[in-house]
Amino acid sequence: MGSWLLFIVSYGLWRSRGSRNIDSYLLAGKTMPWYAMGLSIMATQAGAISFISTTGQSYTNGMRFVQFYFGLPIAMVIIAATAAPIFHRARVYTAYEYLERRFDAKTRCLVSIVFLIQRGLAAGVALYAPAVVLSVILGWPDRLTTLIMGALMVFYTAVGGIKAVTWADVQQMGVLFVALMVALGAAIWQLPHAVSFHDALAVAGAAGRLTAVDTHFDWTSRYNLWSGLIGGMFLALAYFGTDQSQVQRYLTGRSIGQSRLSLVFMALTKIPMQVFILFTGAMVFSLFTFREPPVLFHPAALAQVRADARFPAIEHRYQEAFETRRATAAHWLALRSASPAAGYQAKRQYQGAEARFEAVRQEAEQLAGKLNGVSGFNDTNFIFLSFVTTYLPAGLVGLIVGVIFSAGMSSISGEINSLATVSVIDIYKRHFVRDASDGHYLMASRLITVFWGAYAIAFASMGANFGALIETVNMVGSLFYGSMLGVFVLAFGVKRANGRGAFCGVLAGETVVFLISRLTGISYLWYNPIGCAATVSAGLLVSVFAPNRNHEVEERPLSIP
Amino acid sequence: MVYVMGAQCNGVFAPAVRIVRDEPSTFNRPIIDEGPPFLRTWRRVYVLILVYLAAVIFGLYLFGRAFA
Repeated sequence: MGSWLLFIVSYGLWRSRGSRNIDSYLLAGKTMPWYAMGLSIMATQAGAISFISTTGQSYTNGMRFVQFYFGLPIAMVIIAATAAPIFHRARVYTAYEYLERRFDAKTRCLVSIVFLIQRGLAAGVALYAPAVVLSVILGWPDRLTTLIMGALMVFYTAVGGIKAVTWADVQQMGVLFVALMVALGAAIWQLPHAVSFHDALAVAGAAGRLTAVDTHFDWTSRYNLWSGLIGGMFLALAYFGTDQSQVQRYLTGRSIGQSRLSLVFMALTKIPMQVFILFTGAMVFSLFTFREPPVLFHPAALAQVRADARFPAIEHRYQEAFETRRATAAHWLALRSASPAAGYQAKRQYQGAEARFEAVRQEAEQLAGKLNGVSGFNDTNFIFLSFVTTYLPAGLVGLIVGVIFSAGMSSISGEINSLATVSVIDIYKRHFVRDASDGHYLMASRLITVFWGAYAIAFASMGANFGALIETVNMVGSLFYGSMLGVFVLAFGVKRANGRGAFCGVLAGETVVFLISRLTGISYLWYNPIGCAATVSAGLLVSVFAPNRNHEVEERPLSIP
Repeated sequence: MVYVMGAQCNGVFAPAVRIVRDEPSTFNRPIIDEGPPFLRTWRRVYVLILVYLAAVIFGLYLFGRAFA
């Protein structure tokens, strides 16, 4: 594991040699090929916490989470056709730099600050989340795992810049695929001899773990076809079209075509990759139908509930429920092909046993929650690692843990690099030191990278409630993305929009989303289209009724023809 | 130093532009917008992606139904 981490860091640094000016440090000198950009964007997405929690999510709720990504290919098409060429032709370092050319300095400053707040908070949690999980699994203090990941990541990001980040991501994606295939193979291999792969699919399917598409429309449902296609598309548009951590990746392309190809690559590969991860979780579920899983997957929480007087009764019911579920599943599989009618009856019995088993597990979760003073305790993020540490040989466990370490570093390094870019280009260079040398800005970028890295490590070290933090960051992210997307829609597509309108539009969009999040039960995916619509409407109204007479309208080549 | 050929743009012939190669800024390079390596136009690639998305959603729907 240690060797692997050193290899990742060394390889990234070796590929980034020659990053001696601000262009090569922040934009890789615009030399990156499409596959490196595409894999790097994907690596940021497939962060450590999504790698370990997505499999757990599939284990508990099935594959419906994949619907979250249905809007992504549509968003990639829109960005490849609009934002990518516009940003390239505008010759900008950051997406927000473009906003000043199109509108004015205050709009650029406002959106840059929104980005720094949102991404800064996310970077801390992105480091904290995998560090905590690894600390539990390895038995190391969480501050040590945070420090190891944080220090390695800050080192290669500060020294090598975007090139080191991108090439380290490419390696990380390669090994991630290998680790996933090993895990899936192990889950299938460990099934009892009497249970075939097709039986495992049937067991997972009957328990709803293979249901990926829900066509029913519901505003409050988090994942269905419509929220995925519409809400997911707006979220992906905002994330890939306006978030500097993503925009910066495809701005490093040697041509517009290479940047477009990286987005096409994402559009074609993202859903299959998520299906693969979720399917691994579903197969772990099938395995644990026949081999008894622990009552709780979180080792520390399990040790805590074991000491409680109420636990023996729960454990007894849990073992009974597991045996019943295993026996009814085996009975159904035996009858299934022989007699369809009897098989149907046996399948219903298995489904009832599965529901009872889940109810007993929830009792244990509630007990753990009470003992920890947490209302919604769940150990989803520990399911996959529990499987890995129990069923894989030591060498492969090291590989998977190494992958999680490097996946964690990979997500955060991109975020830290983009935070440094926006801090230097949109704030420091624009408002404080305007005409310094290239070397000065390069040094400033390195120092600010170290600052954001130290901030992320400090934030992660102070984190106390893992679950609540993730929830907070998801909430904060969805609160801001709609209006960020809205201001770029005004910039690209509404010729009458002016700086005053864009500025007021962002404020109005934020207000509307905040009110909706407080006063209604609408699912967070819908905040993005609502925030975007509110920003565009308010921005257009202000632009029409309060025109900004002195401001020059942006030249045509930078907007959609 | 390198010279970029003149090009016709909006009916007006633009003269050749001199570009200094060892300039620190990469922004002085001409912006290249080439076509895709397959299907000839980007529009066709985008249509392919949308058709692919529809097929993936339909395939996942059928897969879930088959084992539900």
